[in-house]
Amino acid sequence: MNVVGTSAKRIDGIEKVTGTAQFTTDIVLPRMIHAKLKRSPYAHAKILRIDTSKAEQMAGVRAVITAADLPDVRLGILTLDEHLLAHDKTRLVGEPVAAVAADTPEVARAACEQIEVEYEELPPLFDPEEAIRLDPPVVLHEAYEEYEKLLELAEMDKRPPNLWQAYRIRHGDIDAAFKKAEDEGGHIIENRYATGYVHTACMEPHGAVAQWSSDGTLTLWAGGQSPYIARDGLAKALDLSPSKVRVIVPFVGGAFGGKLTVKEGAIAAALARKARRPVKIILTRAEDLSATAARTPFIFDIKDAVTRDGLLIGRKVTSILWGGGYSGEGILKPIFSTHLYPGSYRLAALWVDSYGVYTNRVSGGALRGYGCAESAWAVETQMDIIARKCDLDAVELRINNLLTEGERTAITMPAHAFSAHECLTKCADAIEWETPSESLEHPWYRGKGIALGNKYSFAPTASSTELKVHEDASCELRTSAVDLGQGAYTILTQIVADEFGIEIEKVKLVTPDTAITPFDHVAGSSRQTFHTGNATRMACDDAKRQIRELAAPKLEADPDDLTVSGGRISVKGSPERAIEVEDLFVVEMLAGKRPADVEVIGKATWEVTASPHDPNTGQGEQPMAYMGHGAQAAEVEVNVETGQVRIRKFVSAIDVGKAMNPQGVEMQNYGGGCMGIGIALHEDMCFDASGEMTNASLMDYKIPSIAEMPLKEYMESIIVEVPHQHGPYGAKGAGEIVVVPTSPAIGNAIYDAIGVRIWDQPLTPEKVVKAWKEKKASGNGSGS
Amino acid sequence: MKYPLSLTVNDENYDILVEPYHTLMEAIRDGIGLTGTKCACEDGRCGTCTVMIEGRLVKSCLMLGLQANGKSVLTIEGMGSPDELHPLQAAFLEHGAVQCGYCTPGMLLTAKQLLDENPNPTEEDIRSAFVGNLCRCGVYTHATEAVLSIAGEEA
Repeated sequence: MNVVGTSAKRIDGIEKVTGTAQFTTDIVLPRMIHAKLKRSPYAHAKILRIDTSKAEQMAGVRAVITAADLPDVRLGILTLDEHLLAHDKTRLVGEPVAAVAADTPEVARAACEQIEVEYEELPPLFDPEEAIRLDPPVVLHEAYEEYEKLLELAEMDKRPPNLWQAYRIRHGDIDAAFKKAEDEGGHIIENRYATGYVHTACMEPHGAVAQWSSDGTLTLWAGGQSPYIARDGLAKALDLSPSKVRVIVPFVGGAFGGKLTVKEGAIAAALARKARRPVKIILTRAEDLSATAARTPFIFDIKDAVTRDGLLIGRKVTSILWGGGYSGEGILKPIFSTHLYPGSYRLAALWVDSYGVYTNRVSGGALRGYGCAESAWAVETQMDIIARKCDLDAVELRINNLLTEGERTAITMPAHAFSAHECLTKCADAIEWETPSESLEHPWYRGKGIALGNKYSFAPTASSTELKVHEDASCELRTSAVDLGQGAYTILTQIVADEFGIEIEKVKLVTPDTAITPFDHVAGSSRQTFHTGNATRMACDDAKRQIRELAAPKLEADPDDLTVSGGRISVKGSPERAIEVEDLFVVEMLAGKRPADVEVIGKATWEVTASPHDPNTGQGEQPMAYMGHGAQAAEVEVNVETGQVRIRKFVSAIDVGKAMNPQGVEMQNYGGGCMGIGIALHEDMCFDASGEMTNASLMDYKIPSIAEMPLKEYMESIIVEVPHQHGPYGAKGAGEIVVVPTSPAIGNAIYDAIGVRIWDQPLTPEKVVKAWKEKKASGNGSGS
Repeated sequence: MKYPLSLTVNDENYDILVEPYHTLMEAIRDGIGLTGTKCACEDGRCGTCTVMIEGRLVKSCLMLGLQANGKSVLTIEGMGSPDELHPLQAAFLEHGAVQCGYCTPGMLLTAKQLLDENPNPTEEDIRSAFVGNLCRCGVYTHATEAVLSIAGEEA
């Protein structure tokens, strides 16, 4: 039964199309009350006094908490720098300083307004280049040195006081590379790029429901990406043993990196403990957009040494991640973004200094592509510029610089399942790269652009699963891998069906619940198919081994000579010697027969260890689980009078190793492209001078609608399958690579159409018009 | 103070009490307990709360519950059941138009209203209809294919 590799319909589909799928926002418990947060109006301020007495006296208010009601612990992913509720200082507009639980959301909101907070305003710091100075005008975390840190920063003589991340790559002789380019008629190409402020803007806002049992156990329902990260975070925040915390993940209305932690869930839990009632917290859209972690901007200064023939021989990069008030989930971005500086290319010399700094804006978080989608903007625009400088075709230039299978990259990991060439050429064919775009009538211009991309999947990491076989030969997979919409539940079900040779309908999935389902690291970093997929296969093997051992005496055969498929156990080579799986489960306890060993539960843990790279050189053996490849191309139409950019055609060619569910890959290709188009062209969190977000609604923070998408005949999804040696069936993840090359492909297409470069995302109409006017005024193209 | 609200939802009658400031979305979700109607933006942009009132599409976060008094409302739960899917529900599944599923109810009702009025829509008609429904997973292309696949059939 080949179920893997087919476009099986998603197993959660019926619930989702009939409105019966239960999301966190839909949960109602008896006596449940509602929480709202009192947030800081200041980007940077000392908290002098909080008076909650008026709020506490309001009818319907059941609990009010401030930092004083919580354990004095700092939280964070790797640098523990953030309290659940602001302690002595607030470091961004919207930081929670108090919380109320009341009978209705309206009463809770009104009570928040009655909480009096006396602040002493401090000068805010917004500019990352000021923030990184050794003598910055403002220091956000005076006690930084005392914080607990789980990660080593690159060595430096003196740490700039607002710096929370520093990472270097030192590979090859960088000076020799630039000298060679200079001496031998090559090129030195230096540019500055920036990415924008982007939010995951999941359709389901952040939320949670918390309930305590009489034995002191906390149960939290929250649509997050990792029930175990959530559990451990709750335990730390509330000073509980992790065994006293149960996290259940209902359906999740999108995550994209934005639901890694459950801060608001921990606040709801603290309120629930005080009120002795279940508490639900659902953020408003404005809170969700303005005060939960965002994809904060990077600034990249990139300088390439290129031979006259267009071979990249040296690259020097300095980047700053414009972090917010806390290091947050963005803590590893300055490291992981560097994976793309070699990316798919051969580089004899690479020199990188990558930093992350605090500023008084929203904290940096994860968003689909974690650093790579940002660094690709710089690298792949740079490749287009280099091609034009060397008078080479942009596809040919890239091909000439590609690594080969097995070759070590500038960050020392050998290239494996290296499919960049195939992704690139198939993508180029689909967009008819050799054929220039048709000319349109002024003010419309048409052009094509292409870009490569990579997405690592991080390591070390692990996934465990359990596979129970029932009396009717159906299988039950217990996993803490979360389906965020990407289709993980369906793919894991397909694997079980395939391994047991049964119909997909005979597989049941037990969804994430830390009281039942075993550890899985996180639904992030494109890791579910690869890691949980491997664990699932191994758990199936373990369950089948147990079945063979139970069946062996009945069939008078050696367990190794048996096969399990389609609910039957048979002797290899003599299929007539067989019994049904259900025959193993005949238990007649009341008749005095001893129960057989009827509990068949396969268990497995798949683990990928890694050698962390030296933060001073960026060198090491294995910094990641695997590296994915993909290419995208766009044909755009640009109106130079209005600045409008329409995507006429979009092609996404990604390597998934093995398409476990081809329709699912197509959904990622189109869906990732859609998000990438928004990020490239118009998504932009805007802030006023006080640091407050000014477009915190879906009306004003513009995610793509169908109007921004090309017509369906101009959307093309290409699946490349270069199997990975460690992937289940050879598979690699698809969830993030689909958004990595999108922005540079579009930017390069705009250049092809109208001959201007815009260096900072998003490429809004205003910037297009301005760049066009500047080009007209100067009589040539800007930049390259 | 709460006021009585009488609604017919999916052919069933409900008499509930709502605050005058409660939206129809809140009346349906919290008052009646039909949670297939979602809330995502609170300002009418995203369309996840879309329902039909007597054949017309309404973003239920933009209408007060009391304004719908005496009206007949269709929500996603009334469109089809797990045992008997509406052809559009089946088409959404078949064509991969469902990812996280949060926007799905609103998109399905929008598609239903389109086909009720125009059984043979073009791609442009479908794009116009869906422009008020946001989907962060980006199922737009697949949703278009799903609607086209049953255009012309009795829906």
